[in-house]
Amino acid sequence: MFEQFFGNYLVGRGKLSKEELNRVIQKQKETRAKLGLIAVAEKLLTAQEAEEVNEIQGRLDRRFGDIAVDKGFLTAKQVEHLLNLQGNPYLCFVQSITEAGFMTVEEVEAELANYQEENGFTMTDMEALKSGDVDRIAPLFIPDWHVLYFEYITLTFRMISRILHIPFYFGKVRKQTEYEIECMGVQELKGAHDLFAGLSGKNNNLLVIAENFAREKFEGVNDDAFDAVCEFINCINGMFASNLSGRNIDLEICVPCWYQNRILSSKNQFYVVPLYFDDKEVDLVVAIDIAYDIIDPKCEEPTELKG
Amino acid sequence: MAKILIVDDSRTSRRMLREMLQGLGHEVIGEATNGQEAVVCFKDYQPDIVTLDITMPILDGIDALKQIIAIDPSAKVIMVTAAGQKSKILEAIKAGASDYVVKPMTKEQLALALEGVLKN
Repeated sequence: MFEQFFGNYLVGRGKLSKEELNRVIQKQKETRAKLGLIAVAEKLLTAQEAEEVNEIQGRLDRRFGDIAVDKGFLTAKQVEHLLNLQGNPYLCFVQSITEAGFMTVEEVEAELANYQEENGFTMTDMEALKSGDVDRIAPLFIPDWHVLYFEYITLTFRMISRILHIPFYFGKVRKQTEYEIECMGVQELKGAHDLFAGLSGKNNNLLVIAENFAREKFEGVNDDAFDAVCEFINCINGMFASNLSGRNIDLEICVPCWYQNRILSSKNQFYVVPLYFDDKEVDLVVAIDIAYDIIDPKCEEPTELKG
Repeated sequence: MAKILIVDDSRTSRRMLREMLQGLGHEVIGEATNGQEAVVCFKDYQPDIVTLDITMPILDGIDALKQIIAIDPSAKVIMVTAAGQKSKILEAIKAGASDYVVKPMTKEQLALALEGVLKN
């Protein structure tokens, strides 16, 4: 994830072209093996054990290493060893850039100092960013976060990586009381907490979610594409409800729906998280325990659900 | 090879399930998009197994399951649901569901559930 944040900063500064960044990221993808694969190669896990951990990871929102330790397949020390073998994402990124001859180490370091200054990051923040760990990176971009919002947003990041398998990064989280919807897939959760979660995009940007989830091409953001987006949100919400049920907080999952050309409006603030997939922006919109209306700007009345 | 009825309101989920089931050598004899359609299709097609989503419009998976079991108490129904539906899954098992799988599932997980249900 670090390569997405810093890489796109370098592109914005004209230090790398988009194509060069894509080449660096592609090379990293090829060389940075998954923890399970390394564990099998190191003969610390059998292929069957790795598969069992992967299967559990599909049901539970937990890290591969933590599950393997709980199952007694690996010790914490062995996980640390495997993480070292996997490599630090920042160092791998710098290595890929310099080996390709796009920049020197000194140039990268100078740009990193600029990046830190421009974003007002401390040294600790930079260490978190370099770690590539979503749970450490997210607080840097989510201001004044409420615990449930934070849990939902970071879970979404992990689900994008685990289910869609596409590189992305995110921008500063915004708090808003009004949001203009062009195309948005939505699902609500009801119960001990009421949650509204939507993925929203302009033009055909939602296709990046729909096509990578459904593994098929759509001609545009039509009903089938919306259906795929909603199914992805359904997977996130299921995992979120599962996490909360472990703390005896019960939520009921509602039937998903979608909206086009509406306005989401509330007297209270909700969170908007810009997600960047290459050059396409998709917003994650989350409202927890607040009343809201979906308004048709043509008639300014709350609208019926579609889907 | 089993004759299977898929019930899910999501076209994406139905397609994914259909491809997995066909890949496992089973025959998909029908598809329904809500619980009400599921009950009608169950009577019409008499499938060996039904894969039944829980959260659906018109009639949800739990109510559809109860109607299917009322028609045929030996009906084999696998609930297919998002994670986090523990209480609903328990309700379904009590109502006569044979097993459940969690979305997004792999072909192997689905095969395991089918194998178990077909053995019994």
